[in-house]
Amino acid sequence: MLRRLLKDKSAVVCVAFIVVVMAAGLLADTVPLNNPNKVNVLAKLQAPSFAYPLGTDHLGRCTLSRLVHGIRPTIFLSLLTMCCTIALGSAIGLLSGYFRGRVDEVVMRVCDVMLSFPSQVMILAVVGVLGPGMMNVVAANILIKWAWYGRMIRSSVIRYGEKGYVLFSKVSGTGAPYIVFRHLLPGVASELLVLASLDMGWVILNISTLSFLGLGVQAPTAEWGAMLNEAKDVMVRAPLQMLVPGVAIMTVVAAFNMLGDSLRDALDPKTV
Amino acid sequence: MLFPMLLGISFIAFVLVNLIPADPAEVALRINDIQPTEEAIALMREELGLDRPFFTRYLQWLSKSTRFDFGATFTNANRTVAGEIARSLPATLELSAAALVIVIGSSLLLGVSCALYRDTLFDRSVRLFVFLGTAMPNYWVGLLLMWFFALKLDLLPTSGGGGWKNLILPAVTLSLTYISTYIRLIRNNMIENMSEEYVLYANARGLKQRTVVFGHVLRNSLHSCVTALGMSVPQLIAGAFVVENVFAWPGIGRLCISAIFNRDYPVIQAYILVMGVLFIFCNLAVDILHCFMDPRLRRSS
Amino acid sequence: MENVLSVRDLHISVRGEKPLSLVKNVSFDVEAGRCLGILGESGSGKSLTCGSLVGLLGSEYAVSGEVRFNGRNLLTANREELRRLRGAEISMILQNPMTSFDPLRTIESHILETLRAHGRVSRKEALAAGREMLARMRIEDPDGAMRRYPHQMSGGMLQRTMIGLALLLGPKLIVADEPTTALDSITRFEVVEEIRRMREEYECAMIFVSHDLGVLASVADSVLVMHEGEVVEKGELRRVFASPRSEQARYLLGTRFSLIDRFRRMVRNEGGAPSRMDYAAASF
Repeated sequence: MLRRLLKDKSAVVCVAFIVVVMAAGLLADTVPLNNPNKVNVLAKLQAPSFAYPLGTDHLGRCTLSRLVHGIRPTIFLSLLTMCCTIALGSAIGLLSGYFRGRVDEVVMRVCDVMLSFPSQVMILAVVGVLGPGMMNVVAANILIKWAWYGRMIRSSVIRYGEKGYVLFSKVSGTGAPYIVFRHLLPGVASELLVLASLDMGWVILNISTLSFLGLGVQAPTAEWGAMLNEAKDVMVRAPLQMLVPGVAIMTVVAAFNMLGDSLRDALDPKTV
Repeated sequence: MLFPMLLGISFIAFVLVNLIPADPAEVALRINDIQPTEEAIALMREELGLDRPFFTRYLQWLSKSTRFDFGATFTNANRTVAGEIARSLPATLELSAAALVIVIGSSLLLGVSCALYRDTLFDRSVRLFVFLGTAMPNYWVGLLLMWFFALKLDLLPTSGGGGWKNLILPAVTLSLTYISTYIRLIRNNMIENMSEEYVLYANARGLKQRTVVFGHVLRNSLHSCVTALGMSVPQLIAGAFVVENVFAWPGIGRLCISAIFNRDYPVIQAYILVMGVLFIFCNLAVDILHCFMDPRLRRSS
Repeated sequence: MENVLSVRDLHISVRGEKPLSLVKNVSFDVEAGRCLGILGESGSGKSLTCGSLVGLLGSEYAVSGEVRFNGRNLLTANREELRRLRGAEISMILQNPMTSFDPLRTIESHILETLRAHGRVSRKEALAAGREMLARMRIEDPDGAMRRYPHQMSGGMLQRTMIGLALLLGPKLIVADEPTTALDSITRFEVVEEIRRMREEYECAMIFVSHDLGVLASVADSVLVMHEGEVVEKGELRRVFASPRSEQARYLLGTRFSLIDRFRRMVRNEGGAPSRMDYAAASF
């Protein structure tokens, strides 16, 4: 599968782009950028210049610097959310699919209830209960999506579980954990990867939306959604402030979406 | 099936709010700028009925809810939650309805055109637009539209509820997310259906291209789209809160957001319940519509 | 007898960087009132040939040659001309009746739209014509049948409806592309009988594609044998079946004969030259 993926030029471009962005986020502190939190009211809302390549926001902070520093909350929080969601969903899905019986039924009922609730309402409900804050937003997202992954993994497990080599393992007496990790997981992993990359975009949009509303990341942390929230108040005087974070979100989400599409095509035997 | 779900949702709503670490009585006092002394808290607890056991409170809340009595809001003891919701729900429904009309209209038009003129420049540009559209945060689009149409061109008002002029920008913004999905859905469905055998037979009988496309292909394609659309209606209504916030549209989403900031728990609770109920009824309506549209399902319904 | 249809040097290939030739140098004539059978295994190009006659192939195919009908070369006709021909002068009967009808529309609706596509017809007239057609196809309760949806009818009934629809506007030529292949043996027999009866009553020319020798023997007057996109043999049915000249034809007939032979030996214990009726009986 990896070979097919590498042949797809757009996929390679997307992966390269995402890697560059993430590296920039990780190295934000070491790269020579202006201090993202340094307030300089005299320099507020300046047009792009050599000192401030993307201008300044309403508190005189360097927009480029805030953009780069904002990679961490926006993207890494989303990654954290995804990993936890997948871990939780997979664990439950694997166990449920492998053991079947009563456990499976109960778990599926719970998943059904969780999935039937409109996700936006659930997010608001959870954030409403826990209050605004970064980790609360992450928790809300995990709570909503785990059921979906749980379901997917469970049906994959059931499908793969009926394949010959797994039955053979069971018959020859190998222990359950071995079967689960050695046989089931790799087969399921590739499907997971496709779902995850397609979902990543959704999570990024969700987290930035909540930050935009003031429910997620709190000031003065730089985060793209929060930056847009601040930019909307100065829309008339400095429209650039409104464009920059939005374009950033759009390109990163688009990259993940395209990657997910390419992964899905690479996995699909019909397009060989 | 329906009733237990309703019960389940109400239970979840109640449980969630009661999981709050903060003491609701204290919060209620603070919001109204009353000093939370020991006595005041005790009085408030009694007033809110918080001193009674969990299930009693749940049943009481549930029975009151069926009579649409959600109690008073924390922020202003003079206003009832029911009243607030009654005031703001129609605005959200109006916005959602307008967005739905735009979604249906544009996605039908563009989806069908793309399927008919497959792989032309038009098709490819629309697909690019769709792809970018799903990657753009909708509040950002709202801001851009606001900046362009309201501020630059000064054609429309920037915010507030009211007449159709105020409705346009928020409705267009809200519809954008869903348009992308539906254009793609309709286009793919139509392309798939065009290679079905009944299309070959229709052509073999000498039917006009227009009849084949609209009478046969489109009708079959719409089938699955209607189901998907129906499922999105509650999502549309629920997701309106962002757009309402950007354009200061006085809807139920905006109400909930301010309730979250104000820690106004009765409002949040009622919001969850109302949205949950709405969701279930929408699903029911879709199921019925689905049966109605497909003669193959009518026997079993 | 004059030719209803004349095909000369028909070439069909798939467009692309490396065009793939699928049908080469196909030429044949269909005389008025006669039935031409086209015999060949899957992939021999039979269906493509049929589809190309009235311009039903998609744009990914390139078709060249000459298809003369009513004095016109159909391959150079414009879309509207071809559309008017289809269903009215040249009708088709397809292989899969179950999937050829729109599942969301009633039989009545199919009949109405077919008639309306070819002229002004009032609803009453159209329904009356439809009812009469279904009755002639020996479908019981024509009124009930018209109001039914395709999934509520059996394969045999749908196929008979298709045959009826093909005849509705009095075509000069009917192109039947493996109309009995998807049916079970008993239904196949009924439909073949229907087609024979229809041919006697209506005297329209026919092209009948099949890989089933028994069915062809019951219906066709002359036969065209196709193999890998080319015509390997042409001639009167009796002659071709009794003494095939080309290798492929001999192979096709030979393999079938050995099956039929066993059956006949089991049932009758007789030798002698096979007759047309024997084929018909032996095809189930």
